Amino acid sequence: MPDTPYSFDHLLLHVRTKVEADSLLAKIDEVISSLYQLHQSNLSEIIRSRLPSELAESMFAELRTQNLSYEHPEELKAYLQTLKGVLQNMHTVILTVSFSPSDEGISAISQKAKLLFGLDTLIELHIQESIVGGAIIVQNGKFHDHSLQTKLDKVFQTNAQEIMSILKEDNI
Amino acid sequence: MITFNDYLTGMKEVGFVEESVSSLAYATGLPSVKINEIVLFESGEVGYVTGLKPDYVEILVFAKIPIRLGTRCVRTGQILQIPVGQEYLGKVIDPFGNMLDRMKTFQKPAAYLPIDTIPKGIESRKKITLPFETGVSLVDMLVPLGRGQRELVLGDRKTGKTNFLFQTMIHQAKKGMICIYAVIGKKKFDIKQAEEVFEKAGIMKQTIILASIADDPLSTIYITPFSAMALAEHFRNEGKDVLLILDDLTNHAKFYREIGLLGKRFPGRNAYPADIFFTHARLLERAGNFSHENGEASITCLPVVETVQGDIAGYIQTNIMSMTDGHIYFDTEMFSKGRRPAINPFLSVTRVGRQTQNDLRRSMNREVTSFLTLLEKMENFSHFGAEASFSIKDTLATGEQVIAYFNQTSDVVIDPELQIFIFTLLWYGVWKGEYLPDMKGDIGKIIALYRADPKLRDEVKGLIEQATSLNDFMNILRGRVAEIVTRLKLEHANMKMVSLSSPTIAKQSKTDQKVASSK
Repeated sequence: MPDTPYSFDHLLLHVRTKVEADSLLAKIDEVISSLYQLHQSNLSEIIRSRLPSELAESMFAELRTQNLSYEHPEELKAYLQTLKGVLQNMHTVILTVSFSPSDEGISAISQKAKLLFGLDTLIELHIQESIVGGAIIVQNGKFHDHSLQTKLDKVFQTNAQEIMSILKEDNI
Repeated sequence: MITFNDYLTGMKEVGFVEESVSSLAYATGLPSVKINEIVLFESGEVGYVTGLKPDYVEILVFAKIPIRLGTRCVRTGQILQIPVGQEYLGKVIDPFGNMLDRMKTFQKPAAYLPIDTIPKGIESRKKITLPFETGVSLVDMLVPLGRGQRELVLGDRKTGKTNFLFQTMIHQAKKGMICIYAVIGKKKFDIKQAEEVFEKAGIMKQTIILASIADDPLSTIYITPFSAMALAEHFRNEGKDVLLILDDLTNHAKFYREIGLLGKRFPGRNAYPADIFFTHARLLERAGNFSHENGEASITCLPVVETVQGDIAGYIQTNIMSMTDGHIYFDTEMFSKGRRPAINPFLSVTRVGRQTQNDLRRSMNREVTSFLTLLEKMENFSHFGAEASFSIKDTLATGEQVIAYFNQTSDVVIDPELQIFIFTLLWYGVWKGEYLPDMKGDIGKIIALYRADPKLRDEVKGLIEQATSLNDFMNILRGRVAEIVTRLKLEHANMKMVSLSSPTIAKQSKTDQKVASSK
């Protein structure tokens, strides 16, 4: 993570996937463009309405810690720009699975990934039913194929004749 | 056949194309990839790694269309190689060893060699001792070459460089040398023309044309000379002597510049990449004379460089001059004067060839060089309109004959022994006072007779072996000129003038007179 005067650790915990990061980036852009257009009192409401509640709260907490007030939009803008930079430079782990995981599932995977590879890690999910089960993971150029399809292929390659004879016997 | 997925599961690394410009692709990922390693794209294209940056890998792709962003790529763990073998003799191939004419069937050789290797060290090299004859009198007598020499051929376009190279190839291929003609980013027409010339001369079975056309991807053009050198190294490893012609390196440098600029490398002089010298030096250093279990095996390399308006001090020109063992310069001025080949002997250099010459050839070389220098001075002097003395007129007349002898059309190749023989007859004054076309007619007859009569060949060789200097050889011929003239049926030979008035003899007799008078 780049050296910044701000701490985004708490905030990054809530950003799990690449889709979420992209959506957050778009919303930050909206907030930045609102900085000079709105009354200061409305700015906190805008942030609350645009960002998910946990993220908004984390942001307010950080703003308070850094003594950043709405009276100084430049400081606020610098903070948001830094956050954008951090989000854009997050590492991505590409995960290919055979089904769409639940929200809890995504959180669990994200937590594990952040624990293994660092807080600035995002999950890029791909759904590919043909892999049957398991997962294909690409992290930092390393390719790990733990899919059921590959395992079955290997079994078939090594024991092809045996399997074929069983299938013939059973008339399948 | 190994597929993309096989490499993916085998190497366990993947990359994603993030940027693609012409033949260059930039990919993230592939953490353990090495420089020069082949990378396979999921779309089927192949490339090889040319640069490693902290965030991405630079890949030179062998595809005409840029790779699409997001395309996955995998390592193969292999470096770029070309199939090598005898099977290629008589074929026209691309830098990957495929037939250029895809309609022709062909069994690829099983052996492979890497196209980019570290040149062999000094311990595996040998001194160049054997001459390399081109069949062109002017070169063999004035700018002699040796087997394993790297001689640059430079000059403006349309000055006869390629014709000279073809003459050399024809002469050497007929003697059994393997000839590789590398065409770098030229027109298809040029390749076809070369093929036709070699077929007509009957040397195609000793020749390989390795060509890339201007329409090919930058990467394919870039690797052409390296592939040709790998092919030459294969024959060298088999103990054979190889002639490699790289036509031309200015074109290669231009294509490499394009790659460099597209790759955002910092431009150096004339916008060429900073490593252009290294690239060409690494290539040319692979040629030379090498020790082999059967004695010696050589790669004689003739790189071609084009000049613009006779500027031999250009960047690429001087670079390659400094990494070769001399250069043959084709002069536009001489070309416009009607000299063929239009080689300027005063601006041409050979750093190795003279050490391969025997005493007789060295003596002739000295004699002719000093005579041509004298002739040039006299010609300049006569331009002032000064009244010419008898000796000046004599020198100018002999000069005309010498130059007429050196004028050699591209379809004529003269054996080195015959070059010595004819030149000695001329020097002796056999055609003194005769019209130049008559003299050329007689020379043509001698060449035809020499080719047809093996007995004459042996006789001439026998006479030459007895001599150690030009004067020595003239003395040997002195008593036999009448016989030679009759035997060769030379219609225009002037037997009366024989042995009296060659410039050297005239000069010598004057010196003798001075010495005698001083005594």
